[in-house]
Amino acid sequence: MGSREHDEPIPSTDRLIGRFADGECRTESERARAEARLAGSPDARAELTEVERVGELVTDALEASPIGDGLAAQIKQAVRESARLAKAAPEPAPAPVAVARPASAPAASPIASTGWSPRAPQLAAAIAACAVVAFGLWMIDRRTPVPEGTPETALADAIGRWPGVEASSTLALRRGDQSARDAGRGATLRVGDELRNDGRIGTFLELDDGSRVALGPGASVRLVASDRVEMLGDRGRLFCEIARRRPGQRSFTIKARSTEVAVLGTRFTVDLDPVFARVSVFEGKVRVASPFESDVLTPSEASRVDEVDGRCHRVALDAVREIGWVPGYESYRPEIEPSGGPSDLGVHDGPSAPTGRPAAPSGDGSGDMPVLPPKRKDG
Amino acid sequence: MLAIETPAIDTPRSRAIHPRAESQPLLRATAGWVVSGPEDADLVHRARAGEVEAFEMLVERYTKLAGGVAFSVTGDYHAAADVSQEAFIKAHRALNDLTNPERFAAWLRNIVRTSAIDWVRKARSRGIVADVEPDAEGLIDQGDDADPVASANRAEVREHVMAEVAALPEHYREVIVFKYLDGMSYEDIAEHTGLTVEAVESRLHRARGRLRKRFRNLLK
Repeated sequence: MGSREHDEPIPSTDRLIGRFADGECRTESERARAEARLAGSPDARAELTEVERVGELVTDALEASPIGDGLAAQIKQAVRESARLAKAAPEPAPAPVAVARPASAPAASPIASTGWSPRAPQLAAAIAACAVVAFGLWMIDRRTPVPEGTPETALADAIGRWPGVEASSTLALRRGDQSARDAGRGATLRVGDELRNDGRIGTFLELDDGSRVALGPGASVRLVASDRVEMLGDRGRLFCEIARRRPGQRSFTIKARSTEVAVLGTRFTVDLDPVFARVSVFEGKVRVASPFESDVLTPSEASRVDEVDGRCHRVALDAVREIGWVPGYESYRPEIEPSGGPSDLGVHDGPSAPTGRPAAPSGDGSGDMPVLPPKRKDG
Repeated sequence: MLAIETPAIDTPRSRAIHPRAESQPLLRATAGWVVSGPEDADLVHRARAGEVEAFEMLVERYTKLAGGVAFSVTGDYHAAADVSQEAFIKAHRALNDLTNPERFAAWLRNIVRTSAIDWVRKARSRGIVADVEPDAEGLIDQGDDADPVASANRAEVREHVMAEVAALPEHYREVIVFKYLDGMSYEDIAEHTGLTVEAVESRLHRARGRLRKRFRNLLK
């Protein structure tokens, strides 16, 4: 169809009307010819009306879209921020040495045991010969590269806080090249912070735009920007309650290994496993796309994308499994057994595997929607 | 569902680029960009000297070009917005590498295009890319409509229109976006796409033909 379409010449009348509609008549006589044609032909007038109407519709939609009129202001703000951060950033230094540890060094803390290395500022001279090796190990250990353009500065903006109101919640925080430490309740969250939920239950991060992101036990994230969260490691669960985006505002992005989920305002979960990624939607509408196909999910629907074949597979949404760990949603997971330690709930056994817990009435995948608590309104 | 009845759309922009005969210019006398205010080269020099405001003028001037290029390549307007922002930040950082400040627009366009292609490549290599198709009221600016029904109706129309534009082949999407987002002339589009004016006209005609078929209900 495409080649046939290309081969067909454009009728001269259509071309003339098109030029007239676009203000592209090349001569006075051509314009007069167009006007005469319009005056004498209802078909030509209808043609002009349709061409103009298409233009109006497209212009209106484009201007109201994220690439429309609001984008310039957003970009200017981002450029200013980038320039400010570039000025504030210290000179590049061989910082990895400071955060590296020899492979043989004992894991002094739970944080170190999962790849976050404690700072060893006093060792630099003594283990200078090991620095290169340690740097290499550190790079391998990190696994998740810093995205291009990510601001790296101790002066990074505050973008939210960790209330830490969940019972016995513990959050480890690593900022810049500092060693990881207990964030402490009420901690301010800044761009570049790396966080890990060391507690046995999920805990919420609150962002300044009103969004909330709950980290499952053992889940680690990096706050790449005020609207970008990157999951670290190969496994973990997030529950995202994303504030609706303003016109022109870029989408909120959750990045998890090779998976990226961009959202405008909805509630959903992302469940990462080495062999699949599953998105379950509780509110809003989500388009899931693999390299081969896409699928639109509405509330109570879930799709699993197989890492091997890249296909989207509809799966039953298991509300118990997906959000039972989220503070405030415990009623969907009444049989929670927190004694297994952080890693228990961070490891998934596949979407079709039994959860090991009796299903709640709404969690049987039948499509019944769980009743979710209302979103916060103070965001 | 898409409503058959559509609200009348009469934005200042649509009037400006669709002049009726009484206001239609005889000729597009300008070739290339119609630039008001300081020339690009001047702004580039000032931006290099640290004047952020000068770069912001370039942002104002070329955001729609960037958005159009990015959307043409990605077919995803959310990604296009992100790519555009990223490209401007890259351009700002690399401003000293620009050898010919008069060619800022072309240079920026290349950065945007490269970034957009990168985005597409990464998206294809990812196991999953998901983005939200929000509720009608959340998709697009609602404007100042006092009538919520009309407002929701308009949002649905916009959603439908954007989906159809996104579904066009890239070479059609490109000319449509340049024409209707940035209001470029055929010559402007030709300059930025490397096509002849005649080719631009043909593509625009065919792209509009496709959209007219797809918008049949909206055009009644």
